[in-house]
Amino acid sequence: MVRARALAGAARRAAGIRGPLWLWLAALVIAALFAVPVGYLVARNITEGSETLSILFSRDTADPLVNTLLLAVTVSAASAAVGTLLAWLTMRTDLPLRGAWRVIAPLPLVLPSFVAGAALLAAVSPGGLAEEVLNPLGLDTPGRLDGFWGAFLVLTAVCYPYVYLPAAARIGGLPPSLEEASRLLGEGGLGTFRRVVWPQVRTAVQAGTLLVFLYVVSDFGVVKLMGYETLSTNVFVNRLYDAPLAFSLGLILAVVALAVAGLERASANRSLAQLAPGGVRARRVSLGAWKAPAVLAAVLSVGGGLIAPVVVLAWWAYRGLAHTGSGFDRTSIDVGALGEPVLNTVVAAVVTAGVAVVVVLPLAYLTSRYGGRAAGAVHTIVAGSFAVPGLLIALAVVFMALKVPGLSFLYLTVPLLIFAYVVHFGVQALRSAEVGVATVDRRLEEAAQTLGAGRLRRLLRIEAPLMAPALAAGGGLVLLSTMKELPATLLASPIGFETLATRIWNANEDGFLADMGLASVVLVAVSAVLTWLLVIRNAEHLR
Amino acid sequence: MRAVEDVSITVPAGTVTALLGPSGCGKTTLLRLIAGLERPDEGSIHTGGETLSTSERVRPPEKRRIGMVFQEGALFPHLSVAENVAFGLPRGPERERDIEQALELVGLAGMGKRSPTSLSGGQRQRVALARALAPGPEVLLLDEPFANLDPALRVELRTEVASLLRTLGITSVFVTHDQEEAFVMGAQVIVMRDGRVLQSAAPSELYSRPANRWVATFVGEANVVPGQGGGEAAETIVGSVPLVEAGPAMCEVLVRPEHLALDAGEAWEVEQLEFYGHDTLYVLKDEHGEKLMVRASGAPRYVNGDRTSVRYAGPPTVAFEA
Repeated sequence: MVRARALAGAARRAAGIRGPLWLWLAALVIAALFAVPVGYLVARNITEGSETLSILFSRDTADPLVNTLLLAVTVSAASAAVGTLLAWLTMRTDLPLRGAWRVIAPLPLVLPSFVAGAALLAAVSPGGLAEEVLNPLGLDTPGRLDGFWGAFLVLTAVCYPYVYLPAAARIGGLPPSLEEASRLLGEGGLGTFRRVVWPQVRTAVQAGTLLVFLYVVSDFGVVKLMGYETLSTNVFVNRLYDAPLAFSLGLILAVVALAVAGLERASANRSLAQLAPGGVRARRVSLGAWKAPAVLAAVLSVGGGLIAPVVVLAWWAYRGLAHTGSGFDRTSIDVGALGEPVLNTVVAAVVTAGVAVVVVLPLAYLTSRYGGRAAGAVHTIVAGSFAVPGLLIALAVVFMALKVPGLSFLYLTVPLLIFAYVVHFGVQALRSAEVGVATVDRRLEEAAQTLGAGRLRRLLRIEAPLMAPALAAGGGLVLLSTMKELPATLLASPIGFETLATRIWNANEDGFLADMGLASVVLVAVSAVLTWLLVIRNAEHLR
Repeated sequence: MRAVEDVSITVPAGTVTALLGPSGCGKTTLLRLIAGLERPDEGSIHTGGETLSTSERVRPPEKRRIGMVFQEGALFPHLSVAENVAFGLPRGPERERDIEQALELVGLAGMGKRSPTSLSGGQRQRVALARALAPGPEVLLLDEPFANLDPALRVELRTEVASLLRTLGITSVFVTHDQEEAFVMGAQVIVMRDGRVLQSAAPSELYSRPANRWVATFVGEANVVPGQGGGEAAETIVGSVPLVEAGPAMCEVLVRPEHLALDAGEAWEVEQLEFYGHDTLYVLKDEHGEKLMVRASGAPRYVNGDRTSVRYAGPPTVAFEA
């Protein structure tokens, strides 16, 4: 017999707003750890005091700052244009082989920018592909393309997918009836894009462009290769003999990155985000006479960002492998020497991914289950650590280990490197984990409860298996980013700890182009597999 | 705001009780309180002699031996049908047999290897029922289990589930907003509105003797006509209507449409009619604009605009305070 008596207001509160105390404690500790590097960066500048102020207004600062902003703004604009154009072409026009382009267009994501930059330089270096192809034809090798234009081209070629992916997903999700209505009201193809499609796609393009901007300001490899002085190269160069200058420049860089990220968030119009889903096949805009130029544009974008660099690197790798064993010849390859960097890369990336997934889980429970302003603040700290360049995170943790009493045992150790990675890339795991937590219908847990399952059993039998795909995807993204990260790895790696990224970098610096080529091909191949599995295959615009 | 206010219900052991009310009336909250998924601010919940919930202590749902069938089944999508059913069963040699028995009970014998995603809506609810019943709960709760099925399937499944629950003799509480479903399933029906219980009775009594005007119109079709009397009958626009107990002098009298009969006459005009096959529903209007519903068996005998008269031809009914 059941008696339910005077059950006053059991209320929604139980399902409610606040989370359990232990979850909050865990989240606070984790959020504090995420805030440590930036906190140290700020603290160092404050303790340096007046010096910081004089550095801020000196010429030493102004030039690299202007260079950084110039490059970031131009690359962002170019990537936004290329990415949006490609998205529209592949989703809404009769571009030939649209299906293939949808798969190919995001592929430059697999190339770390410094690898693409090194490939460009290697192509025109003596003995490179350009010489080999052009000289027999009686043509001269083109001059070295470097400085601003070199950096601009390489970064745009590898960055446009950050715009393409969200823009294509958004265009693909727009109800075709909107465009049909516009056409019936007498607007042409371009006019419809401008007046109907663009206003809806703007937010997606803006979010993608922000990623490009953050990528460019944090880039170290390409600008260093191209001899273009930015804040990041100055931070790197000055860190050893003028640490106060490096920290001041670092703070400026961090402020630029965070300010732009904040502005984008504030201006994004998210009210458009929830529209009726597309579904119905969209009408295609006929390109007519524009078909050939459109194909050319697509070929150039993808060719420059992916095919050319890969061909060049493969060429050097092939040459090296064909000449094995010729001692001091800089074009030969010691294949065995690649084993350790590969192992180091895999171990560091896998451990980072694992740690990141576990660490962000309490935060994900808090933000997606209980929400509220405090949970939002926790999310912002983690997301902000991604906006701050990895170079600065690494700089801060390395100096902290060096200077803060009691932490010296961490100085230039693998755990410290992994801590820097986790702080920098944690948000990628956090977003996936939030999706994962949200996919577990609370009623499933309640059903398990009524069937007698306690907290641990529910976690293991219900929540973990259901969240596994999302957690794996988040871990995979962290894995991918960690493998490709150069500056943080250069700065925070233990002495003698070489990863593929640093191996490529050092081989290139020393002119071992064949070694560089092979290491790059390996890195690109691994990254291609991961990118395909995690990003492109799941991209909404393919459905 | 409180979702449930000052509610006291008693569910007799071994029978099915239906909680009936419009959406937002608090019936689902009441069910979740019984399950231990929510904590009461005041009051208590007991099974037999045991106290399950008070405002201080709530025995967790997993320690209650209360089974629940959720609205859309809430089947674990990553587990097979058999694994879903096995979830609440103890490990042991009898486990396989128990799973098979539970599936047989709901007509899904041999489907254990299937994935929940490959099942139809009706099959999913059957699995949900098997899963809830398998551990042998003391009480079974069902939260609008047929709400998302198409009408024909809903009728078929509820008949089957009703007879299954009766055969098993398990104490059950069933939430629905569908009056027909409540009447078919429940030996006792509890009507709720705005977090309060309005009436608790067997279906036939609820229909013939609703506690107030709101219940009368919520449970089935009703004419509520003004009446005068104070004795064993009331004078109304349809003539004298017998009452089950003496009403107030000025009252409102419940007149079910099927208790009215049509005769030759001029007082009422046929304004609208709907033919349902087994019967016909007429909407009549008099010269003052008063409307009346009349349900008569068989095909229509009038057309719109015809004139007729009406008389009361039913059993004694109830009168409410005007």
